[in-house]
Amino acid sequence: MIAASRHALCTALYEWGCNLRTMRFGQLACAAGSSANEGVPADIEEVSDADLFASIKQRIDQASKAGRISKSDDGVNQIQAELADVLGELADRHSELRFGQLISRVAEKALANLYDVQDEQLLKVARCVLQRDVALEPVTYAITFPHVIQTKLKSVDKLTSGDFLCVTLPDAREVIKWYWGSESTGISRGAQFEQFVQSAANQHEPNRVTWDNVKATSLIHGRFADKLVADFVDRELDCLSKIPVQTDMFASREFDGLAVDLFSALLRPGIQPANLTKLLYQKRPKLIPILDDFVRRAANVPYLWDEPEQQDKGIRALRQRALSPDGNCEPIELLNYWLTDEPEMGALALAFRQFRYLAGFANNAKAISNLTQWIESNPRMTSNLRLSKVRLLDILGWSVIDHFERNDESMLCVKNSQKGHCN
Amino acid sequence: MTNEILSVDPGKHRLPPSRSTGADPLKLQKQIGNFGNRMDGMPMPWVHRGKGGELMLLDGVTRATRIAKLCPGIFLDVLVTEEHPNSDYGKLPTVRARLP
Repeated sequence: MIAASRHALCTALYEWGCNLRTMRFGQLACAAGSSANEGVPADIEEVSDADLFASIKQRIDQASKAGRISKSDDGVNQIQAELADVLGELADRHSELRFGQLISRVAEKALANLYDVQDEQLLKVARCVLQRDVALEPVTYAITFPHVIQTKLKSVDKLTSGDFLCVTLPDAREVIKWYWGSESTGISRGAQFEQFVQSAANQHEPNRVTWDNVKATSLIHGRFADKLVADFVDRELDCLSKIPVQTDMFASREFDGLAVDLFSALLRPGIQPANLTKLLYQKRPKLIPILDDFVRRAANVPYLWDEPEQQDKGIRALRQRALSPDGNCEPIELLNYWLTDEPEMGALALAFRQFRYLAGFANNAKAISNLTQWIESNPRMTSNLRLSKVRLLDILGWSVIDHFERNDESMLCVKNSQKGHCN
Repeated sequence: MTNEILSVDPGKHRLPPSRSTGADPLKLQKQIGNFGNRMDGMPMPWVHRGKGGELMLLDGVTRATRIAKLCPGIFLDVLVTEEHPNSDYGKLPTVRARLP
């Protein structure tokens, strides 16, 4: 589709929206995209401009035949009219991008999912992108960690709004390359750990934590006193055997409870959650995140409480903080929501929720999917190993904090708020 | 628009591809704070009907999720805005499968 007619596409989207006034512009685009192809509904980024335009026109024609098209001159849809203009101009400038890619990239700069982005927010960022001639990539590898704890990890009821930052990795591929190292210069210890996790020896023992697993954790700074783990190492773990090996945290919640039970049963004085997840990750690499302090800070999984009395007091304090002007910020609101929903939640249960939130934030789901495809098409980059989505988020989160600690922001885009990266 | 109104379990709705991870929990908690489990005055979610009568949400992911979470078993009225008998929504996750 030539650029001139992409203005027509934007105008058509606006016209269709005049008929569906409660819908946001991003929602309209998603709806038109999902109905553009017969069969399985399409992701708007994959839909050609011609198919998208035809889909919108078809809807306008149907509404017109039914006498339901409203010619809106009453200003109600003024923002959407402006959006259509600005996005049309942007589409001219970025003729290398399909319209679906373009509008998704703009929403991404607004730190929002295209479906959820408010029209005002989308318009503000679209104008900014146009004025500043911000680069837009056809394929995104930008992953955002919206609630990064920039200070040391602390108890959930002690956090304040000043503890949080929003960090985007504009190109997560660079971080994966950096983390992994190369065959010529030597692969990292994290990569060596992953090699062991995916080795035949480990996969041969899906329901048993072995001494080799214990030893492998030392590659990523895990440490265990043998006597503390002797009662469960080299034994079939009943709870583990009930969780299928391929269970994926992002595909199912069915086994969350069993995983949490297993984690609680093995956690004990002398075994930190970080070290325990380094063991359990090896057995269920698509389900269990490695919860060391760096990853917990990146994913906003602060310390919780061990005793019921501390828990009641802590939740009250968290609630008060969430309502106070100082604590009234999204990361604290979200923690308050999770802990109100399930007050007895432990670190792993909270991590499940926060990782899923992270994966669905803004355009992260698409970027993670693109990153996975990139790794599959460049297998040598990760020594011919595939990495689960959990592990990818884990590596990226760990790398964010590692860079912070070394005052190296070369791979990061840091904001102290969530107003979007074009403000 | 077909303008047909159906009363269905909101947990069974299919999520649109653009929101396949489920409702944004921050939006959800704000709606829960504002409206709790109330349905009076709530705009009806809009859906497309695909092959086998499967319904995909077009507008109202957060509303449907709120009702599915807070009022399990309660049916919710939705407006069918389009028919897509050749579209297979069965592969999309349901609201229930992605309840935060």
